[in-house]
Formats: sequence, C-alpha cells, structure tokens
Amino acid sequence: MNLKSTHLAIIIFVFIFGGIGLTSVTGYWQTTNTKIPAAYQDGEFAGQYDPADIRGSYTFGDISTSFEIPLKDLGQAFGVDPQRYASFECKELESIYAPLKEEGKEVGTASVRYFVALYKGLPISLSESTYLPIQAVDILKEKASLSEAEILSLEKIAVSLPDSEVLTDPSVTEGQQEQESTETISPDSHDTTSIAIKGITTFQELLDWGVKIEDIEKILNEEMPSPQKSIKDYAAEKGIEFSGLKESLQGLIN
Amino acid sequence: MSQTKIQQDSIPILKTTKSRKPKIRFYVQTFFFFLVALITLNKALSEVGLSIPYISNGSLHAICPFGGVASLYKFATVGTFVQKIHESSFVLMVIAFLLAILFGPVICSWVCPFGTFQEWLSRIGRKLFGKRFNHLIPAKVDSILRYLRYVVLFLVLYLTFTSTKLIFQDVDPYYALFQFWSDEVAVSAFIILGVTILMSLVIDRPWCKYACPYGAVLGIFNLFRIFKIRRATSSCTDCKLCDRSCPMNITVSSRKAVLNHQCISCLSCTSENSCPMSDTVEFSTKGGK
Ligand code: SF4
Repeated sequence: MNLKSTHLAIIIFVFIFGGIGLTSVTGYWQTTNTKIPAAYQDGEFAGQYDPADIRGSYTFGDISTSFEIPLKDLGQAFGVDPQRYASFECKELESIYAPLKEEGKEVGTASVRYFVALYKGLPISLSESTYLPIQAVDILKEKASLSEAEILSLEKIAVSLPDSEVLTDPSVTEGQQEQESTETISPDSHDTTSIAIKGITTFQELLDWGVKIEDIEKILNEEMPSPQKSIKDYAAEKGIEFSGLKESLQGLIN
Repeated sequence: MSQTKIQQDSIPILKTTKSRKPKIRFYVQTFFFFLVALITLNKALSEVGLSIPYISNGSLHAICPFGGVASLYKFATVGTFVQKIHESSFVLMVIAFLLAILFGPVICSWVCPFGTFQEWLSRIGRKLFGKRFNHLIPAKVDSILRYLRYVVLFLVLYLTFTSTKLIFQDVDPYYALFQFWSDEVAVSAFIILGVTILMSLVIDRPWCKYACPYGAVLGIFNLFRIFKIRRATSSCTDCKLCDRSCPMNITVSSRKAVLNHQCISCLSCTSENSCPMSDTVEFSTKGGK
C-alpha cells in the first residue's frame, strides 16, 4: 500500500484530533493539574497521600480536601488573608515571604509540605533552607502529636511573618517595602505604623484613622456593621478568627 | 544505460517537471505552528482574565508529548506525572507512538512547531549558502554527532526520574521560543535557542539531528515502522535527487528501504515530490502498491 502526502496529512489530523476528542469525551483529557497528590506506594503509610507531592499550583483548598486539614489552620499557619484561604496557591508564599529568602530562609511550597506532614504525622525530610512561620509552629504544637525533640527542632526553624502589608498585598515591590521601612516618621505626621488594632478597637476608630468604608467592606465581604461595634465582637458574631481579620484590617491602616 | 532500462521496464514514467505549488506538509506544519502559538498566547491571556474563544489555554507542557515520555517512570511507580505534566501529555504521547509505529516520526516532520521553525530558517540558509547548505559539517563529525541526541535522551530521562521535576525545561529551546516573555525560561534555554537559530542557517534541522531527545525516541520506530520509504531498484536511474532533497542527509539512493533512525517521514525524497521517476521512491508497506 502506497501513501501520498494528502493521505498522510488526513491520517495525522484524524489521529491527533480524534484522539483528543475521544479522551475528552471519556474525561481523560486534562490540560491542567488534577491537584491530587500521589500516595505512598508501600510501608506503614501505603495508600495515604504523600505531602512530598504537593505542588506549587495546589491551593490551600486542594490541600485541605486531600489531607483533611481545616482550611483555617492552613491559612493561619502561613498568615494568609482570610478571604483567600481556599484559593491561595502554595507558590504565592514565595513572593510574600521574599524578604526572608534574602537571609537564606525559605517559606514556600516545601514549608507547606513539611507542615502538612507533621500535622498528619506522615514521614517527610526537610531541606536546610526550609522554614515555618511561627504561627505554623504554634498550630503544630497544639494540634499535632509531636515528640519533645520534634518540638525543639521546629522552634529552630520558626520565623516571624513579614509585616502584614506584605502578606495582604503580594504585589508590593521590594523597593517600596524598603522605602517604607526606612521612612522616618516626623512627630506631627499621621503616624499610622504605631496604630495597632486591639480587641476593643471599633470600626469607628478605623474610619477615624482614615480607612475607607469600601475597603473595610471588601475585607468583610458584606456591609460594615454599626461603627460602634468592636472588631473582636464582630469576628465572634460571625464565627471568624479575630487574628486573621485583624491582620487584614491592619493592612488597610498601614 | 538508464534510459534503456526505463524503456525496457516501460512502467515508470520520467516526470519532466515538478509541481511548483507549495506542498501540503507546509500547510500542515504552518497550521500546527500557529495553533501552538495561539494556545500559549491564550494561556498567558488567561492569567490576566482574558481568553481567545475555542482555543485551549493549556500550558506548553500540557500539549507536549515528550512530557508524557519524561513522566513514564513516575507514572509507572507512583501513578502521577512529573511537575507541570498532565494527562493530555500522556494522550499525545500515545497518539505519537501509534503514528510512529505506522509511519515513523511524522510528529517531527509534520507537527512539531520547533521543527517547522528550523525549516523556515533553513530557507534563509539555502539562499545564503546555495548547494553547500546542509553539507558544511564534515561527514565524520556529523555521523558521530547524530548519536548525541541519545545521550541527551538518557540524561533527560535519568535526571527527570531522579528529581521528578521537568529538568528538560531549562535547556529546551522550543520552550524558550514559545515562552520567550516568561520569567520561567532559563538563560541556558535561550542560549540553546540562539545556537539552534544560527546553526539552522547552515544545516537543516540542527536541533532535531543532534540534540532532540524526543526525536531520538521516535527515531527508534524507524526500525520497525509499517510504512517505510522504499526505493524500486528496477526503475531507479541513480540520479540521487532523493539524496539531495533529504533534510536529514540520508542516502536514500543506496537503500531499498530507509531504516535510518534519523528519517523523519517528510516524504521529500518520494516520487510524489523530488524523485523524477514515478512509482520509484514511495512511502509504502512491504510490497505495497
Ligand atoms: S527525505 Fe526521505 S529519507 Fe529523508 S527524512 Fe524525508 S522521508 Fe526520510
């Protein structure tokens, strides 16, 4: 049987687009990650998902589903904006913790892998440059069953979060951060950095400090309550974590 | 002597003129080149909330069959793919293998946008160097270099298996070409792209000949593909036009069937394209008519 160019061209199209069509119908054709990590193949943990397979593109929502870790614990551990707990991708950590990287301390996808492994009591090895935010260490101390030695080694790799502005707005450039941190505040200037939200702080006080009502509502994802209400009371009423909300609102002040 | 032979056999006909119209392969290649370009553009647009209708927004890795090959070991042992590779790469890998069993590396010559890119550059090279184009590397050096792509293949597979990361991306000129705006492209990939561009002005498909690990995999299928380039010795006039037309410098005129691992099934050497005798160099099954 002889084949001419035209026939070969048709066959190539049929194979490629037919194959894609067929696998699309069966649901096998996927051009994006299914976000399901690999499982341990053998040993004590065979069949369980392996945290070492968590990728940068996995969201905290994906991880929470696969490893059955409360989203709130993941979000708080890494100081993520509460509004973005579910959609936050591990790879975003690298940009918000960029200032630490300069000191050779990395908080990124590897940190999430390590946190998840310890939280679930699964085996994992740690690279020398991987660190965990101090909140993550606190959560692990509280919720994971760790030995004394593990707690000690965790404390050695605990780092403090960068300031809240970096956390809530990863687009802030290093240059801007540097400029802001070296800015001296004159006694008569509006000293926002010294204003910190406390348990008794009300929404009215936020408005008085120059925060716009629309920005507050964006964070609350609903209308602002009575200005006289304290932020802590509001958080308790809504069943959301005060510290997370405080951090987001503090970002507006800074 | 050869004229007498033609008259004796009386079946093959000497074709006096070759068609000047562009070959169908050119259109197919152009189609896939722009399809891949649109998909990568769409992927970039999707990151800023825009999209081109009816075009996939998969990543370049998602539509590369070599990703499937690089993932084979991890898929077999753990059941997942290496980073950035998805099911679609696996599907395309299987399609490419099926095509290769039947027809050899047609993916290289008809579909691969990077092969097309090199061919487009070679048109400039042909103008610059005339008949010397594609014959500037000493034959001895060339024949050794032809096996280099198996070394690249071994290294890529070994490093991917041991790291479970897509190591090849850092040296992949195809990725650099289609993602040149991305900060994910390593400097090494840009350097290799630059070298490939320069070499394409001197020889046909330098990346495919000397370095492409995927071409190395598909080339193995030439040993047992069902459709082969076959030459009818009875009607061959030994004019060597088939040899001259071959971008991969294969001496078709000295073989009954081309088994060379470098043949890309472009059909340039066939009676349909460059051979002046009809039914003499054909892409056929054994004894095929
Ligand atoms: S010209 Fe013929 S021998 Fe050379 S690569 Fe194309 S099909 Fe193969």
